Amino acid sequence: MGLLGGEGFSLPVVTETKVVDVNLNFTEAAISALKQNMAGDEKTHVLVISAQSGGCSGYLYDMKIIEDPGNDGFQRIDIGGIEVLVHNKDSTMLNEINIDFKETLMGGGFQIENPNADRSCGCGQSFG
Amino acid sequence: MRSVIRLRCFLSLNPSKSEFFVRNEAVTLIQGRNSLDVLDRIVATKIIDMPDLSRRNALFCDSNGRIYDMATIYTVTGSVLMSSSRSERETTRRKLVDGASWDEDCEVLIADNAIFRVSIFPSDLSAIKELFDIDFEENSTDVLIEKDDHLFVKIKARIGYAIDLLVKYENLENVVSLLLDSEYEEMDLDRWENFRIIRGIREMCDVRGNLPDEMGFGELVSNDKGCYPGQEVHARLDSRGRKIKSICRIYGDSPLILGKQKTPDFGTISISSASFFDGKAYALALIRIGNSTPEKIQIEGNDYSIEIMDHP
Repeated sequence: MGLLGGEGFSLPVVTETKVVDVNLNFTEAAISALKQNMAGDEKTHVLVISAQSGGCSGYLYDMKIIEDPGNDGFQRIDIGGIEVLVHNKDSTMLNEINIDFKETLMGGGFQIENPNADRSCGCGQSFG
Repeated sequence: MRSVIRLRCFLSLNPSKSEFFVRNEAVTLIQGRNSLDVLDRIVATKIIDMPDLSRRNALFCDSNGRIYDMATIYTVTGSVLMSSSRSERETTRRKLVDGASWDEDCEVLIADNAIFRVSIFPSDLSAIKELFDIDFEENSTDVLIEKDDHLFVKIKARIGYAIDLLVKYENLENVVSLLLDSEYEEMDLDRWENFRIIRGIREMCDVRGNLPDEMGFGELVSNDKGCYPGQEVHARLDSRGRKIKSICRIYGDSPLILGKQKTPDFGTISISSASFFDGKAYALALIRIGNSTPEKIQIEGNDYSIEIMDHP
């Protein structure tokens, strides 16, 4: 049976944080770059913006273009005809973020400014 | 002279006596194939390479590199069991839940009243062999041994070895009775406080808000695992190569008081744990000693011996 097994051995699960309705602010440059990256896959693919632990400030942003995972816990935001998804668990951390795109040779790409963050790392990828 | 003082201090532990303490800690079970990845991103310690059925201490630091929680991590056949401080349990669990990405398999469960950690300090390992029918002398340290419904692990302690026993609540009473019947003494909180200070076992009251190096926990900080909260500060301190303050054990004949104390030689020191037992005073204190290795300190006109604490 072991330490973690056996009948009646059920433990309470730590619940997820509260969920808010997410609003995202994309600049024109970010929308244009997003459309370029989607390259005609808008009907089948979505952009997922998420947060996970890591980095020197505590949390890291992640952006992925993936096949539509369905509605399992996601909020859908239409950005210029492209569906952008944010999972409910990240909603408080990512609500009202500003997403820009900078075309520079060094440190270019999507840039996120987060009004919910107390601090952020110099590299722009980590916040806390 | 130094070794004579140290021996006198250690003798007060009465190593012929076997004792145990049921720890009042937060126990968290983290399940799912990404559980170790999620935890590894949060702690300052490299734990991603932990083999199954092993144990490792780990530190949680804030972005200023200061400790806000510490834990013992156990890998148990695909799951991670974590024993950490009760005071910070909500914060630490929240970071785990929020830190798992939407596509990661990681579930955080509360096992506070389901699993308990019993720390056993046997007078010698052969005595405990008869009790649980496990040859601890043959087994390596930090390797978990499953027996019946319990998990055992041998730990290198400052003096000899300790055995940590993870036990279900329903079996706790039986384990405690077994130990008591075999002439092990259960430590109450006062005795534990005295015992752990002498052994250099640091608790949250000692480490909270301090840097790992200052606490003698440099070994628990990884400089090659990449970014984690506090990593920039730890890397800078590592490259500087020296520390200003260190946690020290002080001991003498007059009782010591918790809090800040002014001293003639080391300025203001901070006593985080203190105990007076059997006519002897022991304390753990953060002292500005730089890279020196002093042997004496004067507090309130009384002389005390001083010893820097390394990784236990």
